[in-house]
Amino acid sequence: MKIFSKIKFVALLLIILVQFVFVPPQRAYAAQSTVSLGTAAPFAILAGTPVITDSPTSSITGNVGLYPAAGSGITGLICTQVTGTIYARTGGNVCFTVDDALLLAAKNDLTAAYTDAAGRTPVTTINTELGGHTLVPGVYASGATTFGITAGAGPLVLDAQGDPNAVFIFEVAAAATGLTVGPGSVVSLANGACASNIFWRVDSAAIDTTAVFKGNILALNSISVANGANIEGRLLARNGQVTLINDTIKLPTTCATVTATSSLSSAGAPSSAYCQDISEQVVPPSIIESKRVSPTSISLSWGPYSGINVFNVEYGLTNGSWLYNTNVTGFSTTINSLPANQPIWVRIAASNYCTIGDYGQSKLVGGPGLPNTGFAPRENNMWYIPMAIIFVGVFVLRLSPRH
Amino acid sequence: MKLYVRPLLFIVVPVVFSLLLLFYFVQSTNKKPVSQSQVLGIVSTGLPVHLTIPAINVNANIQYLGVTSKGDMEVPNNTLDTGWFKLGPRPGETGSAVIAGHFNGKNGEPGVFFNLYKLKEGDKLYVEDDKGTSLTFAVRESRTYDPGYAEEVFSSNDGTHLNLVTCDGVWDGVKKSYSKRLVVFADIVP
Repeated sequence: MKIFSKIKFVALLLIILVQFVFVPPQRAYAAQSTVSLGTAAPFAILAGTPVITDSPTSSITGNVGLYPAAGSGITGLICTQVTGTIYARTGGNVCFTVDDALLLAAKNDLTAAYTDAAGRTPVTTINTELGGHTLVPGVYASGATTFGITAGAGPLVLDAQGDPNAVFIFEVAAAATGLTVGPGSVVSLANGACASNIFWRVDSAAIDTTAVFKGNILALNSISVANGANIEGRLLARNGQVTLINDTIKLPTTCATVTATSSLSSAGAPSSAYCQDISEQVVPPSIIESKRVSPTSISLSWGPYSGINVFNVEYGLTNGSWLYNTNVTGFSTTINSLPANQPIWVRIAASNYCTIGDYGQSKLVGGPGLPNTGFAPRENNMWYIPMAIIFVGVFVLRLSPRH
Repeated sequence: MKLYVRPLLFIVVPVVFSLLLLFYFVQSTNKKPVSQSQVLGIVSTGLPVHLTIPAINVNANIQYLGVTSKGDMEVPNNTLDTGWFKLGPRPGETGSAVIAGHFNGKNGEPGVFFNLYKLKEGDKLYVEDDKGTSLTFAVRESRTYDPGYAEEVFSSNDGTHLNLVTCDGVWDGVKKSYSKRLVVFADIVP
């Protein structure tokens, strides 16, 4: 009996040991599993009440569903526009498929997905403006409760770092329109990022004209898409409506299931096919000059040139915690929209938009201001007072009539 | 005769008063004669806890400071302690560690860095960390800056530096700040 328990103990020890030795090293970010959409997954568009409207003529790949509003709530959208099925309750176009049970299940699964996404941790708080930034997988919330991609701010690049299972979750805490995608704004995917694994958990979302958007919007209320937007993802509204104008909405393709350790030329990561490693001859760049331009912006320059003139600039509030990064062509840049008056750490590596080389030494840039360590020099003020009194005293003495 | 007494009082009272004040301040600036033996030359990057500058009789605790809402480095919450800028490198790490101290206090009393301007090239600074090891730095130079951002004080890519900061110049009653900042640059003594 005793021997038996000893064996069990040793076996247990071995199992633990083996786990420690053979578990592959974790990535730097806390890897998230994807948010399961369940029976809502085949739907490109799902809404609650009162309507799904389309001003001619959108093109949709994936199913469309409205529940619990009546089928008559689907207006401007007919079955020929949809590569898939339009599910509705009774009262709509004859081409619609009436299936309350299927719709209810999908809506319930949407609610579960919304709740799941809302509870994911750890959450990284970043700037409201997503345009012009590159983000690695993770859960992101905005300090100001809303997210936006402003027209002209540049694309939001979601960089999966070669992991096709990488998950991006955006938490938008604001009631009403929390996600605003400006006219012509772009979400682009890099290094194997997959639209199916991008989730926007919002109250309401507004996507403006001709925007190119990726990911699944899980909205508590409504989603509106203006003229000519192109969306790879899903528009899933729990309670409110979905409105479209001449848009293209396509279910995201299934994510490649290659593991992160496979070679970069594996199927499923097409952009990787042209990916070349950064040569070891490329010198990690160091920051030559840097200064603060305003409370919210810094400028910096770096070098030397050693064969590549595109660089990845990583920055954050503390050394080692690189919240943001951006690609720069050339040897200098100005970084704007920073948290006001905070010290910013920066490091730079050569990049070919696909692979990133070694980062140079990180540097604290542009701050803080020198401390104000003094108080009013009271002794000086107090010296003036007696001196002034003496002066006045002498003056009075001289004016006094002599007897 | 009576007419002379009042003007005389105008002179005597202020003179006595000012002499008393002078006496008080001469006394208060001559405090704190301390010396300490140190373990030298051990490179460590623990959290700094104590700063000793024998040349100007500084023997002070080190607080940990961040950034104010205006974006300036914070200051210690009393005039006797110094404060290390915790968002930058630690003393002993590559880069510039920054320690600030008060020039004076609310009541005009001298602060821990009141005599910082007296430091000259080669004077030694000792920083003790929470593991009990001590690092030695030697003064390289002193420089004055305008208030505001002074990146070179906080940033450096090569070498291990310790920079001490306090106020300098003249008091600006409107800005509630002195007109300049004094920075003493020191390098590690291996």
